Amino acid sequence: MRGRVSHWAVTLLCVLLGLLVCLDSSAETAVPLALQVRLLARLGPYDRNFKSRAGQVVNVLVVRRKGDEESAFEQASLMRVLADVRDIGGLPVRVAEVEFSDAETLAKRCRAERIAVLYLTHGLEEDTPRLTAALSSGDILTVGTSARHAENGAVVGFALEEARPRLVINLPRARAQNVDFRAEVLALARLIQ
Amino acid sequence: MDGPIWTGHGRALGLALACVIGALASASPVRAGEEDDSLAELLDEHVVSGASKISELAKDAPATTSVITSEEISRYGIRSLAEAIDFLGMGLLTQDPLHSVEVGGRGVLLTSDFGNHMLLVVDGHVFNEFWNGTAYFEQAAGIPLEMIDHIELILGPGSVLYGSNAMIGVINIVTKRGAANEGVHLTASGGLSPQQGRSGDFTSFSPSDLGGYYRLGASLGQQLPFGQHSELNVGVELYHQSGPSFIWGPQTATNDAGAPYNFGPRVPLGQWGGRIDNQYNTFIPTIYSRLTIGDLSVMLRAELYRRATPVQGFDQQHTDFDEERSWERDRWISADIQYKKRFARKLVLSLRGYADLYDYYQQTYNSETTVCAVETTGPCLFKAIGRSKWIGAELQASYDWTEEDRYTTLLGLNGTVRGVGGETVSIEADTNDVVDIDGRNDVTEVVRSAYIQQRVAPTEFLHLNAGARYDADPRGGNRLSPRAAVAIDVWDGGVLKLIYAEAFRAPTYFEALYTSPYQIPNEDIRSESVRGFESTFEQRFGRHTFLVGAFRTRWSDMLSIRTLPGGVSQYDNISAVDNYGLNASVRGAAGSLQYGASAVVAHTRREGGDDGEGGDVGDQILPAAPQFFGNARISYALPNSLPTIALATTFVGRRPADRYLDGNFTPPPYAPASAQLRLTVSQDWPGIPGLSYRIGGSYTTGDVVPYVAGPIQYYEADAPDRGPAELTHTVKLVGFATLRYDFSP
Repeated sequence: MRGRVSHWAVTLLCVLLGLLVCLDSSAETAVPLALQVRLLARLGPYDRNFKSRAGQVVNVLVVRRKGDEESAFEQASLMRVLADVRDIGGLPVRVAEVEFSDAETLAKRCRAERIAVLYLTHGLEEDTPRLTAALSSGDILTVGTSARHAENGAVVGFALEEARPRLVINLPRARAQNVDFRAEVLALARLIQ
Repeated sequence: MDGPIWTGHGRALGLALACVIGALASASPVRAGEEDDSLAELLDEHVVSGASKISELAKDAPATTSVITSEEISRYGIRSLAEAIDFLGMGLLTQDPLHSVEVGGRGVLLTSDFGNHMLLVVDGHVFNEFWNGTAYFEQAAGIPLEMIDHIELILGPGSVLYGSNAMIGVINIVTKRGAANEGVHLTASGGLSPQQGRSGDFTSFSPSDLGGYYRLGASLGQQLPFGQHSELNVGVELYHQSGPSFIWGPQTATNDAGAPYNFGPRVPLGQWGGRIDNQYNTFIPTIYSRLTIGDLSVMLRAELYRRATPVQGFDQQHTDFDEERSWERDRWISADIQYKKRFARKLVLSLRGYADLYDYYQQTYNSETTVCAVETTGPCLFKAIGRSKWIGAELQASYDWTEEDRYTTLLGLNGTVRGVGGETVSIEADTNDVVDIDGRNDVTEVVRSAYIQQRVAPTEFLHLNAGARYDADPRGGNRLSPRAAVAIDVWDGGVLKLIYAEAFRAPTYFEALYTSPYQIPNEDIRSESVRGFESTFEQRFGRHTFLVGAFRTRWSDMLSIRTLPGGVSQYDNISAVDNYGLNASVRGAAGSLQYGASAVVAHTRREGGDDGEGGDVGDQILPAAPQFFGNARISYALPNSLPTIALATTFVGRRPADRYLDGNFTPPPYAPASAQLRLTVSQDWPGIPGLSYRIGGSYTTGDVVPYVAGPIQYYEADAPDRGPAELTHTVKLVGFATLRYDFSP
């Protein structure tokens, strides 16, 4: 009898440990992705350097994390929603996707392809500081699907607070990446100083 | 009791709606929000999750939903869920019989239901218990006020995803998490009210005569070192209230033998009334915690609600006058563990387990020896006891066919094992000897359910939602609760919704099985049900939103308690309710100015009531249910370091008292129209970072609420000393202040 109890106890412990080990994600995005894209489309023109950064076309690169189903879902959703966006700040939009391998490679691609908006999906929060360092002198708007991205170094993240979407703006990163938001936007956002 | 949902005025209403829909449909839809919606306007969009258990824009949700935010709760000096509903909500209202606040919606309020026609959900966990379906909406709602991020008031039948009890609607509370609650937050608040007289007059402002309350709260939000999505949020709250005192009566009463009724040493024999000093108090400690580690979240909650109510009638039918040994208590312990993970790009699985313990206890001290089940030689202590415990699991799967959240299927399975029981105990108070235990009974039951919901958005301007839930309840029978809804962006900023939904409420243990000296069980009663159709049109102009809606609901097999020839009472499916009307709201902001208002006008009739002799009494108005109510509010944040000033009012029309139908009073008692006005001033404390204050006052123009007070309501209609009904007082004036300290790292 004691053996059977021990067996169940060990099994339960393993299940709990297994859950904790794989608990690096949360299956629900706070702000619906379609609304994030609409916000992004409105946000672009409030950045004084947006047009000069983009040039003739706004290149958006959506990044997913390898092996993360939530990240893959977000990337696929964003690709579809962004495909329907006619323009950002009057400029046409070109969207591409990539799987994250390392920060340096991604930063190199951003520079080579003149990426104006780098959209980071779920699971890349922990990689954001390294990516930020790689992009430190770049002219690029980094956007994350959650507030945690902005807290970790993306210029903009999205939070759901009091049932409303909220922009989270990392001001030091914005300055470092040549993003210059107008005061009207800063007044509406939660700022990370 | 089932009848056609379209009858009489309903057909006219339907025709009018059809005309409106036709006119709107002929307009060419515009892809909403592409060209002229400013950033601020988009940031004002409400995102809700209660109506379809999926995050979506409120305008696309398959129900009429209004949102109350924590910022509004603070700005307008809101002190309870009930006040949030009254001052800031749309379509719902509450009435306070000095405890056990009642909630109603759009013309339907079912008095003495203890909240069991409204589902209260906090972070996905249902708070209604199983003994009587009870949920509270005053300070005893079971969630510290400072923990609330926002409240979704979802109007109309909502059983499609939630099962029993969601007849008037669903109140979905979402607690704070992440940055919104990070750090330590301390709150201390208190309020004072003057002593009141018999007719709503103030009889003393002396400090020793004031009634009051205090509320102490603390909450903690802490990120945990288990990855990016790990955090702990804990809130504790202690609420205590005492007074103000009121004068009642005098009313005279006799016992069944015709002798003067003994209401104890504080009043003359045979008389009830005078000043109550010791029997209006509340004590509520609450703790609520939520631990999140990635996809796993664990909720724990405990609450105690102890109270003494200063009036005989609504929930204390027998007690000595102003007797501090007469009181009630509810206790809850709840746990909820949820694991939610995307297992494939298109598939999210959620497994939730929940367990709750609840008990109810009421004791009344009676000098009258005939109150207990058997006559006592001295005073009688009568105890009513109820208890419920339940454990269950819910498996939910969400499949997004195109990975765009446009074609999403939701499937759910839910199973609950519940144990419910109760008894009454009669005690010889002087010796503490138990003289009788009546109706002791405990049952164990299994409730099973399955539901499906399909969301379809073939274009950006069209959102369809259809679903159904099947519940197999051993006490309510097998029920199918469907819902179908369509939301159309008819032009820029304009959204038309059409919604059909059904809901039910299984009979509670208290209604079907409870046994006492005054009540006998009825195991044959059926579930109540409601069908509703509504249409709303919402138009946004920048940051300003206007909504107008029309609704019709048909309620069948409604349970009421009736007095049998032997003098005991029994619940039965007695009546139907027919209800229709209009609701409207407006809200918006311009710079530092915020405003909002809502109103409901309804027509509600109860059909098929029993006249006590087997006859049908015909159509009647619904007791205690206002047919006109609403609210209005405006606030302005003064510039620089000056405070925010907020003015709010809630108003309610004339409504019949709870004993209007069966009290045989002449004239039938009504509570007059009244309004409550509230002024709140709030500001960050100058010079002390993190500290803020809020001061305010509230004044109610009405003197009474629609609940008959005192033993007069139990008189025979032809009793010689019968007077007009005396209605329950309301607390007319409150001054309050709150200090809050936020320590964020």
